[in-house]
Amino acid sequence: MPKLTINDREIEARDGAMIIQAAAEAGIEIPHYCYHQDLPVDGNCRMCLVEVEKMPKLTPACATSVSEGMVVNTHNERVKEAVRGVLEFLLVNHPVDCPVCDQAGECRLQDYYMVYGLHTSEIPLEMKVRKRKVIDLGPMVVLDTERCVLCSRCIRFCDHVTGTGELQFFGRGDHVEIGTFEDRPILNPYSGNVVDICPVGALTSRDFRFKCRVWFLHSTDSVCAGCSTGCNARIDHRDGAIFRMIPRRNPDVNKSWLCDEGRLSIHEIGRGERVRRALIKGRDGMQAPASLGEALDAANTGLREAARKYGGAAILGVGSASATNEALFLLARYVKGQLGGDQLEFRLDSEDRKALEPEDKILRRFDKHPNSMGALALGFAGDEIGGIEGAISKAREGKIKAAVILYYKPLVTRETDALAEARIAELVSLLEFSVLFAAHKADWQTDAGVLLPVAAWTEEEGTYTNYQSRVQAALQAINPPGDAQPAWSLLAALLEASGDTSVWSSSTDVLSDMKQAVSAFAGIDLDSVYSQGALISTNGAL
Amino acid sequence: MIEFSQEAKRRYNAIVSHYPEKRAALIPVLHLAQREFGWISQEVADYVGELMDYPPSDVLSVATFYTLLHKKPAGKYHMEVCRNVSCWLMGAYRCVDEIKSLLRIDVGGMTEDGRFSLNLTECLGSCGTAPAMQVGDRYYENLTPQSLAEIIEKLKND
Ligand code: SF4
Ligand code: SF4
Ligand code: FES
Ligand code: FES
Repeated sequence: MPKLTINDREIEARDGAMIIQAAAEAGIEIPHYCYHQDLPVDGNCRMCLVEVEKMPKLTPACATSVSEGMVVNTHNERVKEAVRGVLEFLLVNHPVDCPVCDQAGECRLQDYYMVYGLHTSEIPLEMKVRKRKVIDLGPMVVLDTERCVLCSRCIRFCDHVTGTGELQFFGRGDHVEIGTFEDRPILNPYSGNVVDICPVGALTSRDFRFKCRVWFLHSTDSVCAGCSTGCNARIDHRDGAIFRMIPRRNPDVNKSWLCDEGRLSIHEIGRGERVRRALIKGRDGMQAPASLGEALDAANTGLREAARKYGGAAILGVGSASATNEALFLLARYVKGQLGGDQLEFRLDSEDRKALEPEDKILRRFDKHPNSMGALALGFAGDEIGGIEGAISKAREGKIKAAVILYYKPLVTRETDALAEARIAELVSLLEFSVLFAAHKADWQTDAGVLLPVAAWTEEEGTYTNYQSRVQAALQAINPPGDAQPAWSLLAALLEASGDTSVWSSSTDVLSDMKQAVSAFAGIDLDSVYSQGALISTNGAL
Repeated sequence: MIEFSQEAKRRYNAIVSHYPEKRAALIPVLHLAQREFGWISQEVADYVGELMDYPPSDVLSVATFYTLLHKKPAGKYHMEVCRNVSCWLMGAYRCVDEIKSLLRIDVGGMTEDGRFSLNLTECLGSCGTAPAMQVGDRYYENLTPQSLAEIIEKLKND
């Protein structure tokens, strides 16, 4: 652990760290374009020049490793002058179209100009080298070559992360242009990341550009619900509308990346009609709207009656690999504690097996649900049931008569989803009484005895357990529509209505209880859950 | 789809065998491709990429960096006149004008019969005998408008 001095501050750095990393860890920011913590060092932009005592020339902080006793200065006049010079060169041919650039507000050229530049441009506009603009590079990316600072981050991403090598520099001197061969689209399944890492407005998001100026957006920390990897993400929204999802760095899970399907999954929630009000099926077999209170009472009454008539073993709790740990915990508690049931199941599509199976070498997994491992840890894979198919045959045989069901449409879809939904529909149709929590409407839901409007992922609050058995928190970004509520909160209300005396005022309360009640969760540290995630112990559950 | 001739394939294998891994042979292979196809079109870049396990973008990136690799069709005699200090001081511009008027082409242009094309280049390392010009593998030195007329005449009849 070498000790060094940066700007008169003594700091201790990791062995082999570059000056820029050591500084960042000590909270000292060194300007940079090409350096990125999850890409190989390239050292091409020279924005990170710093002065190191005993070195004759300024040195790039991103490519110089720390050593014992090093004395670094990142902001004296000599450094500032050099950085200003670098910036001036970078801006020589810049088109200065910032007012119509979608990067405005998160552009490193603008930001650094305000700190280091503030020079007057010596180059009249008509003398600038003009390059190509608004080039379509496929489903995620739009390219403006004039704004590129030639940092090569996007190239290194395609070379080293996806290994697909689509992007390159062409030409030389001030005519160098970033681009793809013959302007071919970038079709790798992670292409959206090049937009995030481009420090300027050269690569912008096809999906997000010109939808909203970024300074109007509010950000909420979340976890992608697109598969069992559980990439850490940030959801940007305004006035109840979601605009984009971008990665939140977690070196242990997704580094700085998201897959394209996951990134675009935010739009799925808006597709299809939402369940906005509770419905209760009357004696005539028709569902009629009801208040949440009425619906919860009807749910309790119906389920208790079934439990009394057929015994607790005839009541099934169907969790969902898309539900939060908190919702699943409360569901189990309700079925077991209030109905005397012991049958829990969640597998519509062998999620338990797929959860660990990688779909590629980078992030994606075959299980397109965020919380299969949580459902497993909370005991939802009932061996004596054997998945949804087992539940269906039990219902056919009349061994299962009623159920409480959490059902969510997957956000990232695969061919097998229709089958999974058909199975749930079949189960509901076979039951004498069912309470169904659903976020989106579907025809088969008319078979449910009580239909409860539940929040979809971005409106939920709670934790998911990813394939590594890491519990990670997703906060609520926007409000659910109509009467819908987060699943944990509906279930808490159901428990209260049925006489459970616990009071939970937030999903964190539920998590604390879960820590007490479920041994797998006993060791988790709540603070970690809300930052890098916390591993649960999985012995027994797997 | 283009393809190397048998002879070029033989040369390709020989070139590649000089290197510990074939990707290292990119530049000599591009020279070979240029001889074979005349210039490095996108089609050629694609072909070379496939041959050498490079994404085509990498091949084109290298090709567009080097001026000796042509990114558009060049004449059978591609005349590259040095435009750096020594040559220019010694009257290279007059030679360029002479070529332009003799062949009726501009810098960057090619004669209609595809025999001649003209370009300017950076220092050819032949400053002592400026003005200098390179045509294919040959150097022509101490150029004057008169000597140029003779050179062109000879090449025409070649
Ligand atoms: S497009 Fe962006 S990320 Fe790529 S080289 Fe240019 S500035 Fe860097
Ligand atoms: S890999 Fe999975 S969790 Fe990560 S962004 Fe894609 S869908 Fe979401
Ligand atoms: S960040 Fe160090 S040279 Fe670019
Ligand atoms: S300047 Fe022409 S050869 Fe050197």
